[in-house]
Amino acid sequence: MDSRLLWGTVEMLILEVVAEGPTYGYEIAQTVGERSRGYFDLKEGSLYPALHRLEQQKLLTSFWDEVDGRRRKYYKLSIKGQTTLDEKKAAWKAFSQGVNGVLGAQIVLAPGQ
Amino acid sequence: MIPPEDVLAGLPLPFDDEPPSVRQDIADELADHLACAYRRELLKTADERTAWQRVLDRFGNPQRIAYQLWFQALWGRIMLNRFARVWQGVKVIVGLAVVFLVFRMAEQQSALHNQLQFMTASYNSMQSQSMGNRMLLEQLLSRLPSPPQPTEGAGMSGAMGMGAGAMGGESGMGMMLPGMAGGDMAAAGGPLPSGHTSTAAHTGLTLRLTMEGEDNKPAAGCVVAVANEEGKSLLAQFPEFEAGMMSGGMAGEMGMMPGGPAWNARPLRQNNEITGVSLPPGARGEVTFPAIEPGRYTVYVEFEDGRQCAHRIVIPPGSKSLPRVEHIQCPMPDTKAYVVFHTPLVEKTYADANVRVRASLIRKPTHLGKIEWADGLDSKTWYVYFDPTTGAPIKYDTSQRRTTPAKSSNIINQQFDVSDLPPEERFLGLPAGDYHVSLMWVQPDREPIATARFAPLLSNPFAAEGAAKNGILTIDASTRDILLDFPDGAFEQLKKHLAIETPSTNSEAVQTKGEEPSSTPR
Repeated sequence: MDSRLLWGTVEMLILEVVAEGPTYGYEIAQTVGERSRGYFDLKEGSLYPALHRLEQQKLLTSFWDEVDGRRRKYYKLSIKGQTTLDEKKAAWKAFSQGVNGVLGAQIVLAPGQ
Repeated sequence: MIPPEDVLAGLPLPFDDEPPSVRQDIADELADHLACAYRRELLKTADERTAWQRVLDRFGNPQRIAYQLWFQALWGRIMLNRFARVWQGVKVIVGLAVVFLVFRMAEQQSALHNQLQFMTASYNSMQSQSMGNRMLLEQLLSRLPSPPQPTEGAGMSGAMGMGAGAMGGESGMGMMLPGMAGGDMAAAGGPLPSGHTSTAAHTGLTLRLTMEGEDNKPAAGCVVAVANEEGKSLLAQFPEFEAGMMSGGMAGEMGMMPGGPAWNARPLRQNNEITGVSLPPGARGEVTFPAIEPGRYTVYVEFEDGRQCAHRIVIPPGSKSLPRVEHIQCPMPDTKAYVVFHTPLVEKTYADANVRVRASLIRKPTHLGKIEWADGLDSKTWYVYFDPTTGAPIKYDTSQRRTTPAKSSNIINQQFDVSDLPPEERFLGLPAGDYHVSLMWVQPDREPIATARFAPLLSNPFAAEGAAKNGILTIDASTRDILLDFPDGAFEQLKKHLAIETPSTNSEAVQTKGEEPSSTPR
């Protein structure tokens, strides 16, 4: 898959998972993998830079909590993140409809062609 | 499990303004992720090591991820820091470039300044030279006879206005300046022909140097200088000399030969800050300074053999001052005497003592007219060393002390060994004059034992044959052999002194006193 297409898609997927509720990195990776049936296997080397970048873009906010004696960083969607997610989803929808329209369309030929 | 500090081990040193929580947050977040992954893998396999290995295989290098997150978090600051460092380097380079440019500009400015000064000095020199030229031209024009009125049947000589004695050298058609012939000038011996006046601020000065004697031969072989009260030299713009025969058979004298201020210039020996002009042999003995301001000046004349004078002249102010001619009579060089000193023979017992004569020239200034001449030497002393067994000279040692005004003195020493020459060739050349002569016996270790008693500085107890008187020995050109002898009783006293020092007497002293022989004279 084209990396550019993947990159924008991964961010949308992360925002979508976080939109469901505050969550942490490991859980985000697991959720994306399970729901995509293994198609999207977010490596840690990609996941955490993406999370931090989204946080710097103010699309995500974070807070710390203590679990089992460890500090855990939770992410949640900000209002700006919600807006961005909606835009990305609308764009993806339009994109996928367009692709599906081409890929799924039957070519109707005029009689005699 | 990887401890947090190991996760952060790959990070560089913290920046000064780095938030303290950045590194810890990165480490805790990654550690939590690793812990969750490890727990999940542990559910799949009971082996901790296998589970952990699977975690790491999937996770990758935690330090690399930590560095990536750290760099991402501080990217702005890192870039700013890098920019600041680059900017600092640029500023240093620009600063160095500016310093270099300023230095170069200062160098070029200094060079321009020096060039400007040189051009200014050259211009001033040309100005003064031009003024001198103008003065000289006026003098030359003043010496020219007035244009003759055209008359019928006049010869060439009449038309040229020449007199019988006007030309030096061969007769005939002379040069254009008959009025400047040496005969007329020497006979006149006074100011230039009337009718010529100097400018109000400057006048010409001609120095005419002749040797004492009836024929007034021109002086030559000397340096002539004129300096003002500030010690600044005046340069003779046009030193003159005879040209001899001219081409085409015409003979005569070149009146004035343009040579420029640098021609034949020499510093004085008595004051090397004053520059004069050298009169070579064959010169006419005249030095002219075309333009001199009113004031007091000193005329210096120096000969090679030390004869010198410092004669003061005054150029009074006045709008009608005529060019001045100053006549300077120079003393003849010293006559020389070629003498051989002889000492009395001493007994063989004292043959190992050194014997020497010290002859000091007594010099008094010479006065010729109003000018006082000195020889430029404070003292001239000759030492003559003798063979005590023969009384003949074996070595000469001269010492000349030359003192310049306000300068340190310098002593010139020369030695001549004549021991291998036949007796008639062991002479010493001395200027004629009066001398103090001392005869000394010196012990082998050079400590004089007889000088103080037998040869005091200002008297001569040893009578030179036929010449000594009151301690003064007069030497003239006819003096040849000088026999130095003991005055009455002096030889006995000398023997008594020397006897004290002889080994036999010393041993007597030892026997008497029971002490070791002493070499110290009593």
